[in-house]
Amino acid sequence: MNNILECENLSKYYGSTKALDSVTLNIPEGRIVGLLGPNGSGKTTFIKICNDLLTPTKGRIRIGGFEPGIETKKIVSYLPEKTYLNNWMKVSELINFFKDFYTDFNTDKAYDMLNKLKIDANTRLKTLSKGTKEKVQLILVMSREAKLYLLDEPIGGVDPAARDYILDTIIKNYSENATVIISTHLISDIEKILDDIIFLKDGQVILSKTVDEIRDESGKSIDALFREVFRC
Amino acid sequence: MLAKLMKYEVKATARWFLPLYVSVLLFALINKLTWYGPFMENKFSFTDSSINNPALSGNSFVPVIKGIMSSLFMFIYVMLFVGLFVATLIVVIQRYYKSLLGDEGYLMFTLPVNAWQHILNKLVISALWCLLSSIVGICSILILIPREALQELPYAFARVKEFIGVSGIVIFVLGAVTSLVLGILKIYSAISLGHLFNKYKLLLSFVMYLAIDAITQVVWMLITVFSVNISLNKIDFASMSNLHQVKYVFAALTVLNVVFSAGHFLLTSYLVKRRLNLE
Repeated sequence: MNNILECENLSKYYGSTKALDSVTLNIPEGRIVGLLGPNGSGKTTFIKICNDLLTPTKGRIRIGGFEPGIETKKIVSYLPEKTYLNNWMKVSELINFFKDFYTDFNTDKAYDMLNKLKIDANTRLKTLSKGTKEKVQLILVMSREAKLYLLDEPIGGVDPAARDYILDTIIKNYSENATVIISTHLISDIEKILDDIIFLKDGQVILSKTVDEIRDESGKSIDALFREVFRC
Repeated sequence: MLAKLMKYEVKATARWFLPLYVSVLLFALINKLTWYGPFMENKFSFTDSSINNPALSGNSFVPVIKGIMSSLFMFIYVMLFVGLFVATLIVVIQRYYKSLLGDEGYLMFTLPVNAWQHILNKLVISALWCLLSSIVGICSILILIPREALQELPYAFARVKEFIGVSGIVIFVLGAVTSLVLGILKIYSAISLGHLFNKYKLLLSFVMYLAIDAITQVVWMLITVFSVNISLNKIDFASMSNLHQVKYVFAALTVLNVVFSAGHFLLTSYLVKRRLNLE
């Protein structure tokens, strides 16, 4: 199996603070990976480096064989925890925007999801609620036929009913052989869809296994294991 | 990709500028009509004969209202005219600050586009709006001035051309355009530097701007002193006509503007690519 993402001794320091400390990971194609850890464990720093939004202090990272840059941006679909959509565009204009810049964007898929969620493509973002904006953002990100999806807290801001829909959307819409990395601390909600998990603590990887391995070895759920590992 | 970025940048900014341009020109026209047009046959003044004219005394409030209206229209026009330039500056700053360094940056910087293309895009579109705002401002004045003065204009232009020549016009235009480009890039550098700090980013951006401006002036002065020394040996500056001296200085200014602009462009590209940490 090919690795979509490889990194070696990847580190990011802010002064003396080590946001990411010698992270070495190989993530294969076709997996759903949970990047789990408490607040401030380095999840967002890692994802930002993958997206070329931060430059690592040390170490190397390759996505699909490339250093983060234009080539990786073509194959990585990223959902940040921020709402990054401007307010003055209509939903349909945003779809055109994505179609213009990403060759892997599937317009039909986007409209299909909008219809299912009963979001009118002619409304301006300004008039949408925060939760609906997050849904639009997720639809745009998942309508790309990318090789790697990086989802930072995709279910953090929405209600439990919408969470199920969103997870469903993620599973149904990621392309074959693509890998999805989901960063979250809401573990019980996403546990059932994960293939692999990575535990991050203080910028270091303290555990990286498949969900099956964990169940076989410890007989615990991920949620239970997480509570045990990160007990305060 | 640059063309696509520009397309969206124009869309994002035109919705501010077009209504503003239309209102400036519209109020220039309204003022023109209230002064010279059929709506007001006589130029208004508070000593207007109609006020004291017993035959029209029943309607004496009409000219007063007309007067108030025309003052109001003039006031709105002046505010819009000033607003045109203030708004242009604000949009230049805000489009860089918000759409690249704010939350929207998460979208822009994960597009498969180079950092320098983002900056070039903002720069070109901002510079175009600045030029267009100036043209609209000038046009609104041309609408307002009396027809007799307007007829003098071609003659005035001809005189200017005769005096400074085509080469002079080219040198002045190049000097002005490169100054504009440098002005915008200085703002971008300052904001990018201000963003290196964790707190008070806008305030520090302003401080950075003052610092950049001061450094630029010092360098400018040093270069002037040195180049005068050098050129005095090679070129006989003193024996030039005043006009030639001015042209010479403008040409030097243009060259410096280009060099400084390139420096700021490289600095901003580096900061945005390597040092930026979006909140």
